[in-house]
Amino acid sequence: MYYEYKDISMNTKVKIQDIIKNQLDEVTDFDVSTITDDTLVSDFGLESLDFISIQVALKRAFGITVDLNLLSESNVVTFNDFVNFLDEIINQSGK
Amino acid sequence: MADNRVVITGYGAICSLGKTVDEIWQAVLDKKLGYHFWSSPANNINTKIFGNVDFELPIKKFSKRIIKNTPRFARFGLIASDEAMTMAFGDDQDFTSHYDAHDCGVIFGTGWGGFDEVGANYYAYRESKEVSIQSCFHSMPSIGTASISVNWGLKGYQGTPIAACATGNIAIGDAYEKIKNGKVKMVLAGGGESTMNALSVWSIDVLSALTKEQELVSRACCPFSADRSGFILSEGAAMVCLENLEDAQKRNATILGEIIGYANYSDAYVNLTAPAPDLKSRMLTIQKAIEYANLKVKDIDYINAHGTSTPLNDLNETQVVKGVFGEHAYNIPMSSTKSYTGHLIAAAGSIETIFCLKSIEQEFIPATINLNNPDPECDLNYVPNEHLLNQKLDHVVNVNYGFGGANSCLVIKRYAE
Repeated sequence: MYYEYKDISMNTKVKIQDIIKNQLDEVTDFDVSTITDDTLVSDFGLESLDFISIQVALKRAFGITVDLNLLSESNVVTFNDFVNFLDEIINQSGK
Repeated sequence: MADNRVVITGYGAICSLGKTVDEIWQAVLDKKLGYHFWSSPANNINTKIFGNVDFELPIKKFSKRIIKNTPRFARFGLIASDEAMTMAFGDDQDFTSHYDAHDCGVIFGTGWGGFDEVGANYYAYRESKEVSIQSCFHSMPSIGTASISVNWGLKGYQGTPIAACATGNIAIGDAYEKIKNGKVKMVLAGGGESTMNALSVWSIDVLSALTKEQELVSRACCPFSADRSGFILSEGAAMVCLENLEDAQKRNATILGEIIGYANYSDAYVNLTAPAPDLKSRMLTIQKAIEYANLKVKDIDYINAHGTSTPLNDLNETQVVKGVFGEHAYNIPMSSTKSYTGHLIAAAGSIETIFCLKSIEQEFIPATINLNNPDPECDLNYVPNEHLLNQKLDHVVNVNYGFGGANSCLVIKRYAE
């Protein structure tokens, strides 16, 4: 997929959004076309193996392992929160 | 210990002849061949004709949460189970109105499981490509069983018999015994197989087990014929829903047949693909199944043979039937429905059980087709080429023999109260 490199951090967020939506589409029955920034993460019904799918996909895209255990300590409620949470971790690792 | 009667209230199947039992059975009535020339991905193989499923699998109705873990053989199992559950419990498949889920189980066997998917995952891993994180489940032989259990919430007994070509027969037999002994009240039982990738095909072909026919599809699978040269590798699944008769009656289920006998013996013969020359275990398998059914050999109206169209099996099977039935062997029609389906490996025994039920229901014995050049040493009544109609069948034998010397026999009865 082609990304315009106008804003690197926006580019990373778009990539993260796509990765999460692709994984949700593969491993859950959630209709990913309905996802907005305000969609609740709890609505996705994610289980531990689903988080591993997302973690592996993120590692393949960015080369880093996101410690999703940190999610439980975070204030992630919405899809946008989730994307921002991951974006911060990825950007901190210098990618 | 309980001694319950065990009946069948539903069935389902998918193979190259169709997505449902109705489609498959109609194909049998129409004498369609479920195999064709196929450019298999395998190199250096002799066989050219296969019974692979070349239509899209109807899996959209299943949750991705379940499908994502399933190799192809397990998907076949889900599809066949779905048809069986609808037939047994109606469109809403509501079995929990009649049973506690802990009294309902699944016994779904396979010969080679997710071997094809394991191969693909290994290559991806070795070449540092993206490997499915469901790899562990693809290689887990019980993934079909687990998926069926999860999909319907069957919280009772779970089993995964693995016995090559005898698997489907054994799955139903084991389910029959569990219900008979009161350990479970309802079981979805059968088998599924899909071994169509390059290594899978080559590994069977190199044993000289697959059909060597190069020109005529109708000569590729011709059980009991002098032209026979090996079996057709097919794929698919078949499942039956078995219940304790008393419970089935309580809920006014439609009863399609009754299992009244089952026996399972081993050849213990060093050549894993050949029948033991002494015939003993195979004879015992049929003899004991009939004995456990409280019948005599003269009570058997039809035999659905294993009939793989290999030089060794078909002759050996003929000798076994003569050994068990004596002169009466010449009076019993015996046909091979593999002449339509090819060899579904783990699903063979269960789809052939379904064919037995259809035969009883419709008073009809399917012919062994492509029997155009009989082997003089195979001289029993194999119902060559023309179906037999108006056959009152009360007791039918379904027998299957598997690589590794697994032998299994079921006696199926027309249901009467």
